[in-house]
Amino acid sequence: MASLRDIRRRIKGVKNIRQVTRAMNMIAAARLRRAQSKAESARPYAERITGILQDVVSSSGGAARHPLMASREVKRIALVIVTSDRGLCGAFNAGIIREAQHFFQKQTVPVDVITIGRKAREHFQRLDANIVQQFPQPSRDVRLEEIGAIAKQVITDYGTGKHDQVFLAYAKFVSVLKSQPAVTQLLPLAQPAASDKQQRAAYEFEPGAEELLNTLLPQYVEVLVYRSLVESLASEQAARMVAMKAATDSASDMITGLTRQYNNARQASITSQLLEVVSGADALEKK
Amino acid sequence: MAGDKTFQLEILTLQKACLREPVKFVVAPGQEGVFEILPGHAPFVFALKPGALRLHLPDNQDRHIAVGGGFLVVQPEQTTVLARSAERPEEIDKARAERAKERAEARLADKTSAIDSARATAALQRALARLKVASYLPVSP
Repeated sequence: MASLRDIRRRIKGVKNIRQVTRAMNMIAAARLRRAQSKAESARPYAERITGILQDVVSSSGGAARHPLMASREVKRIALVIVTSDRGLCGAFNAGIIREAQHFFQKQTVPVDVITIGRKAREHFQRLDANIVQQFPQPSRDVRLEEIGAIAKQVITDYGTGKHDQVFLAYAKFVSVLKSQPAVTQLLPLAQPAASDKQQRAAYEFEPGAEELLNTLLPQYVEVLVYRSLVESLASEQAARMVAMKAATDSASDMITGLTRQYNNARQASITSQLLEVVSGADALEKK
Repeated sequence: MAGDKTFQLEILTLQKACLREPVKFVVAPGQEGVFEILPGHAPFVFALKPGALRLHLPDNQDRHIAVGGGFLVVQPEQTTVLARSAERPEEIDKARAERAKERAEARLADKTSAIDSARATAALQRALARLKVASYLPVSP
């Protein structure tokens, strides 16, 4: 049986760990709220720009077949994988990487990997995948410059014909307890679904529809990238929150068990000391 | 001067809904030149370049907002500005804009190195727009 001192030391150690995990849990909860409100406040903009894109495309009689929307023969594709820089967030990164790997195996053409976040980079470096670009995970407030750089890179590579299709692997945020790793197609852009048949005003454009698409589409790509990054951020914080909650709970369980063990050991030592005293006294009396 | 008619103007960015107010007219920096939107304008989509947006409020005050490029969409019921960034005068970090301006100018002046001149120009425009808007700060208490 472990000595009293050993048990005491372990209890202290586990308590320290619990304190850390509890703090991480609370921090993750706060950051999750922030990420969610970020996703929330991006929604009006995203919806509006999608709507306008639909309008512009349909107003121009579908004639505006912009390169970013036209599909072509696929010779080489790019996969953008969004993970976190940090661990301790349960199966968050593992889930995305697994999904990306699945995707990999299905492809018949060469795949270039663009990683966002340290975890994806490390994993695919080990696998000797063809990493053409790597970005750190954007800061928590997901600044537009960071997104802009990523979106620009992707668009340029697509424009120069380096990649014929671009996919995005990230964790969709479903609920706090659930995120859904998924691979979605980023480029060429899907034709925006024909809008719900509410009355659309016939717009005029300045500059013309073609030129307008030239500025509109890259911004739309930016929105898509931004959205996926914010969602990924929310998923990460949610995963971390849940993982740290579980860690805190099991630390508590462990402390309960250890305390019980400690009390048992203490009781046992008292009993044995008592026996020694009593038997010592008996021996004296018998003399 | 325009009459008393107003229309709803909404300014949205990815980060936040910046503003939603009735205005009498708006002067905006279009890619093909500055234009003005009055109430009852026909449905229109304009591409904006980085610059200053001037809103004329119902109380005949002007408000200036720096936008970093984007779109202005006129719809019958309301007008929306979808901006890459939008800042009121009081939100602008003047020193930072000043530095950005100098940086962009230096990059444009530097003919030797291979630079992305479109990017530098855009950066310069953004910096100038910020500085211009920031200079309006003392007007409104």
